[in-house]
Amino acid sequence: MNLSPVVVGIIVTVAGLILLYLVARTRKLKTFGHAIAFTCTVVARILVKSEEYLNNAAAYCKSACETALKSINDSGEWTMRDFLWRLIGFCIGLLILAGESIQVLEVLPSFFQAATVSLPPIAELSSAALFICCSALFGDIVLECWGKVRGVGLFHNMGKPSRWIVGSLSMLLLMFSDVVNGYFYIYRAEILAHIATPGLMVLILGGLGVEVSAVAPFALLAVKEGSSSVVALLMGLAGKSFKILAAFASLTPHVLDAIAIHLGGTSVYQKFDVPTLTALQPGQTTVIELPEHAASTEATIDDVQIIPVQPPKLQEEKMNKPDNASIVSVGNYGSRLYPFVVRKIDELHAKESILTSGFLDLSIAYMPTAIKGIVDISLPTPERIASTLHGKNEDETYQTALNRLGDRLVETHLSSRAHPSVLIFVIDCRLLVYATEMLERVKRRLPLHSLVVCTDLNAQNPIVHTGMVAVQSLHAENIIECVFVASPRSRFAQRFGGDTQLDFTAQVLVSLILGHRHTLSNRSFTNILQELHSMSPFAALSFASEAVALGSVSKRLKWIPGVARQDGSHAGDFTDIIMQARNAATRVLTDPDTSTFDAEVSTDAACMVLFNTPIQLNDPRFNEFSRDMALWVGSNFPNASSLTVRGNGCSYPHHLGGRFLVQASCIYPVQPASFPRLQHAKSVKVTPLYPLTTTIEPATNNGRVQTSVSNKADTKKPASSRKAKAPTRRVAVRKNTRAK
Amino acid sequence: MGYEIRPSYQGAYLLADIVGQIVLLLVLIGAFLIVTAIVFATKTFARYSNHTSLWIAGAFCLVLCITGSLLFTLTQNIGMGGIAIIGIAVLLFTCLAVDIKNRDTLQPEKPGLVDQVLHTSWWQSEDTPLEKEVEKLAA
Repeated sequence: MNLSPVVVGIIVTVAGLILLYLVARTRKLKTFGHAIAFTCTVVARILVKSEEYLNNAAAYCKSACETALKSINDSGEWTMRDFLWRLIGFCIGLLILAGESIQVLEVLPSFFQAATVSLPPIAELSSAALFICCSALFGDIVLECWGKVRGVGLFHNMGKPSRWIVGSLSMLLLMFSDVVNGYFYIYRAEILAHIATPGLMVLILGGLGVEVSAVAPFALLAVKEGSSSVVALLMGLAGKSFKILAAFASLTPHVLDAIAIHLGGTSVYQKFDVPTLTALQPGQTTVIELPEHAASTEATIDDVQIIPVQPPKLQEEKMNKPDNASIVSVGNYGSRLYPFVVRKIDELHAKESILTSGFLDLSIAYMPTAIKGIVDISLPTPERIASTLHGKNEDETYQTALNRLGDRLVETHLSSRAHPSVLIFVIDCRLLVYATEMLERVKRRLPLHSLVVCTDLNAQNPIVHTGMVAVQSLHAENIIECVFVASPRSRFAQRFGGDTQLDFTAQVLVSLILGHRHTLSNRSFTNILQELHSMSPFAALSFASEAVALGSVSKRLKWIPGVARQDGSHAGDFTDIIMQARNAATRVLTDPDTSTFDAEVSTDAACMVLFNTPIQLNDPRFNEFSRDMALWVGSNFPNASSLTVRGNGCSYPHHLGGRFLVQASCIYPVQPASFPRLQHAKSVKVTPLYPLTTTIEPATNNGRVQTSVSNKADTKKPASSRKAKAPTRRVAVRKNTRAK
Repeated sequence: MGYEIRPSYQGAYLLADIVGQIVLLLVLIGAFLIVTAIVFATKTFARYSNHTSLWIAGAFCLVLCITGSLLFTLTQNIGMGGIAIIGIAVLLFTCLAVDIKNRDTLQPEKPGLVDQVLHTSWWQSEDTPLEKEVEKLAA
């Protein structure tokens, strides 16, 4: 397309005017400016990335070039003379080897009639160079052996005898080459004079053959030694080429950058990927730089400044999740359970139901806490350091950090106050006493949310007992709904290991959050907690899982070779799933070995059986399974009710066979009498520093939908001895002795 | 009583009607298969995005599609479209293999093809309970 200069000028002028109009317009309309900037950013992104990749390629070529140059000599410090010498040696060696090969190729048709080879004219050059290159290489070797060559040579570490031997041999071959060359010139003169010299040709070619065979090892050595210089040359040229291309690629983004900065205030060169504040630590996973992940971005410790950290811009975040649950892990038990919870969230597809997750364990310097799609409320390093400054010892530090963690939790959940959910606190038993204030504050600010505490009783000391009494008081004051207790020395843990117990526990916690979304017949976690709240402050879990028969391969996958053998291509045997689920349910309700706490399932108190079945939600069998199990549990265990959640069951360490399992978990109340030393712990003297007057609203306003069952139970149950004494509660926030 | 003899076109009309219905059915099934394949590939990529084999298959599919398009443009030979189909098939098979290898649920018992096309959502999710799907369809 040919455009006249006038047309080009008009186009440029119009484009300039449009640009000026846009600049003027966007001064008033910020959104419009941002839209233009965004478009520029998107358009420029391709070229920006291209430029980045080209620069990376150039850097790589440069690095390779430098590496190749360093290998030219032994000292690693190359000079131009060495570089050129290697390059010349490479060329001479290559000409000799290539020239001889080409000559052989030309002769081949004479030997084999079928082998006809046509060579380009340029190939004749190497054949012609064969004569002089042989002499040149022999001469160079002679001079090197004589010691008249500076810099690098063809040979390394030659002693005097070697010099003599190689030099003498090369001298002989050089003289032989000279003779051959001399004969060649005589032959050429005879040819030009039109004199027939048939015998001379045989002498020349025969001599050349001897000469080439003798020089071939030296030529190969020259090629080998000179290859590094060739690589350096090629890499250098490639690097420069990439630089030039990168420069061309950067022209358009620079123009678009100017437009984007002036119109929208953003640069097209801004990074959208991993923050570059620090290098990734071992075990750390990269996360997308979103506000919700800001908390896990570790700052450099050396130049850290304690600054007030603003919470994420929650008002800009759409609260489009169907649930707003939260899982906060504190202390040793929290850090042990946290990885299992993260895995279960991924496996059970629970990200949609969990709004926030937090982690606090001062004994661990770093742990990747960010979960993609979930707001991370863990304390960033500056706030963690600030907590250590405010606390005199670890206990006070924990209390300060926990309070701040609670504040961050509340700030995040305030926008979802109208859609309350469950806030799960996985707290180490030694830290329960320090978490009471945080739990109170969270409940005060989020009265409709249901708080549940998970802990393990792995120690028996005054601090643990005080913590248990404190959470019992919190239960009595309707601040927390329930405390899930587990023991690391339970029968289940002794049989299958502590990690297996944590795995099952994480599965239950996440499944309970998901339950009401999987089928309408499932009760919500909040509802379950209300029922548990009415029965006891403490609840325990028992688990069992059974493998299910894989059944037949799905019809649409049968014809695909290789796929049909995989477990995942089977539809499962529904009857076997039902039978195994019933077996697992029976075990969790009757077998003490399945319990995570040394308290059996009471036949009097109500309990819940949670089933995890590997049947998809859009499979008609899922609802059938749910109905069948509800009917079976109701008829065989009148005090139990059931829930069904989609998800593969956890496997035992010794599990062999198919990878699909059905799991049953029982959630049952545990009476405080099951804690033999808990009553004694009330006499433990701790130093009350200041009273915390709770401003708890009446029980009917705590957000729970009061059912007739819970109301009745609330009125009947003597919640706690402390509740009867006074509405206010003293919580020991500082102790004199530390838990060991 | 007199009789009027008219040429009978009823057979032709019936035949055209049947052919039209068959074509419509084939188009419907083809659209269903395409939508199902796209949804399946997208979901597999979203769920198993950390699997390198998926991205390799995706790149392979893209390269073959581009190559097929270029060759078709140059040669005007419809057979060159087969190259793109090979790429798509490789991608779908890779998605299937990755899904089957890593899934944690059993294969669902799906209704027949006619029911799938006519009575179920084409992009129903594994995470959507059936009763909600039924509610949506009923609404």
